[in-house]
Amino acid sequence: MDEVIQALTALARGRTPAFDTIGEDSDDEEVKELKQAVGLLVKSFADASDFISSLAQGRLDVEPPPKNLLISPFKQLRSILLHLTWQTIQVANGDLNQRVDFLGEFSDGFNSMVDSLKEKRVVEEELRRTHSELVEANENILAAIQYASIIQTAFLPNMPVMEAELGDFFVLWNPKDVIGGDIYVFRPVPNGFLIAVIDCTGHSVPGAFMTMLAGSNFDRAVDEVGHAVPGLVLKRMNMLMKNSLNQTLAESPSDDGLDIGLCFVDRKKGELVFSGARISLFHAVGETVHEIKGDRQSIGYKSSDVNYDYVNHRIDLTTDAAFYMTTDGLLDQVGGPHGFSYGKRRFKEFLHRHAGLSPAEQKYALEHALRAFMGDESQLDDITVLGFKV
Amino acid sequence: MFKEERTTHGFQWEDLGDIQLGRPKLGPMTLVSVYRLMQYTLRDVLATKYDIDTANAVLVEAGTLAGYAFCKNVLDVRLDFDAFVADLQSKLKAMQIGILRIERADMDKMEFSLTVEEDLDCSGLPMSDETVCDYDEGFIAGIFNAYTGKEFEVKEVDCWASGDRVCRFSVKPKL
Repeated sequence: MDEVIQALTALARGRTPAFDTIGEDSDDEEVKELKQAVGLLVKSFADASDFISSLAQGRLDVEPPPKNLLISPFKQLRSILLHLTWQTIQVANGDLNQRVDFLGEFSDGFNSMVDSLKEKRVVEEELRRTHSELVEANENILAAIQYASIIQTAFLPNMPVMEAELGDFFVLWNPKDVIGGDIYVFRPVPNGFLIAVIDCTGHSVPGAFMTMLAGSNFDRAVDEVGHAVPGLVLKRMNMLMKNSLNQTLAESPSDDGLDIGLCFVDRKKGELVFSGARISLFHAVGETVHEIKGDRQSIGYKSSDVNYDYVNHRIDLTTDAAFYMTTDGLLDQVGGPHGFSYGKRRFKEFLHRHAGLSPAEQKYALEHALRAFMGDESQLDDITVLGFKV
Repeated sequence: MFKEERTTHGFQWEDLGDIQLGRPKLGPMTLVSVYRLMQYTLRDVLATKYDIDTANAVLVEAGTLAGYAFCKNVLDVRLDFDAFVADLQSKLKAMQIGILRIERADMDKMEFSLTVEEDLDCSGLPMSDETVCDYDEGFIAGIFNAYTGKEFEVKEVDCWASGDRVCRFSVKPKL
């Protein structure tokens, strides 16, 4: 009996007593039966204790001891946890229809998490679909721009014609976005030629639209007022551009226009006549560079006065004279160690330093200088630089 | 129809009839005790008239028939396994047959360990140190047969009647 009492006391205190010796050495049958029953209890307790300890450590792989009624609730818990593990794996594999409904607040949390994943998946699907549509739209736009580039390039002056008439010249034409708002114009006329750079409002597609309008209005202006007085051409262009965009009316939805630097080279007279709207002419004689500033009125805007007379600047042509015009894309480009703009001073210094080079060599040097100046900065605007010797 | 002599099974799901038509006042529901009254008296007669093994075998066979028809008529066998299990869990719960859970699923060997909590057949029975859900063994085997086209062997490992709180079934392909 003492052994039984000690064993039961140990069990009550959560300890597994040694039970091998219990129930084997009594003569009293009732005591023997009692000891055997206690022995069975001790073994069941020991097995249960081991199993529950494993469960407490999260070890769901431990099989429960068979036919041990002490652990029935724990077997149920293990079953629930195993199923929960399986459900979690299903969720991880993408099955967001799993729901838990037997673990109180944990169920709420788990189901909430799965619902969030489901919503996230819906959003991701929508994003994927939208992205796919955007990619397709972007591809279509890029294809259209590429084709527009072909048209805009075809619209520019024919190089062989320029080479035949001009001889020594360079053109640096760098749209910011494949197509742009800058163009240059070359038109042979009796006794010489007209040459211009035009900087229209905007770049990319809207800029390209403007260049089409600018080019056709330029031709019309020359046809209507003649080529000999560039200032008159600009005045005429001003009116034509305003009319084309209905910008004579205050309520017109647009307010677009252009800047232009236009030269008429009269070989017979040996002179160059320049007129500019916010674009200067840089005149280099040897290493000396002069700037002839364009007028401070742009062309075509609502605020542009149709009665404004642009100034004509006459320059006698000398054998070593070179002429340059640039749109503001070059001058306003930022770069360098401090992020300042390229500016007129830097451009004049460049022309001064490279005065002895041929136009083709000057173009190469300018491209190189610009790339070095820009560094990691992206191109801010369309860039057009024209240089020629007469 | 129901009382014709036969040597092959003739049961069809349609034999259950139109319950809505037949019970417009009482509706389709009844008590678990009514269900168990039928099953356990039937089991008792079979065991008495024949023997325990025969009674068990009859219940397994009936369960298999029921499970097969249940799967074909209530579940969607076109679903992939995970979705099929979810559907099965949902239907068993909705029809108050039990709360099915997957403990383990080895898809390569097609071996599974399932538990059914609040089993219709046994939850709440007095403890008798035996597993009694023979009909469920057949029911589960019938479902897996109908879903996979293969025969399965289902053995109840734990039961309320054997002292556990959930019924646990081991499911394996029949060799």
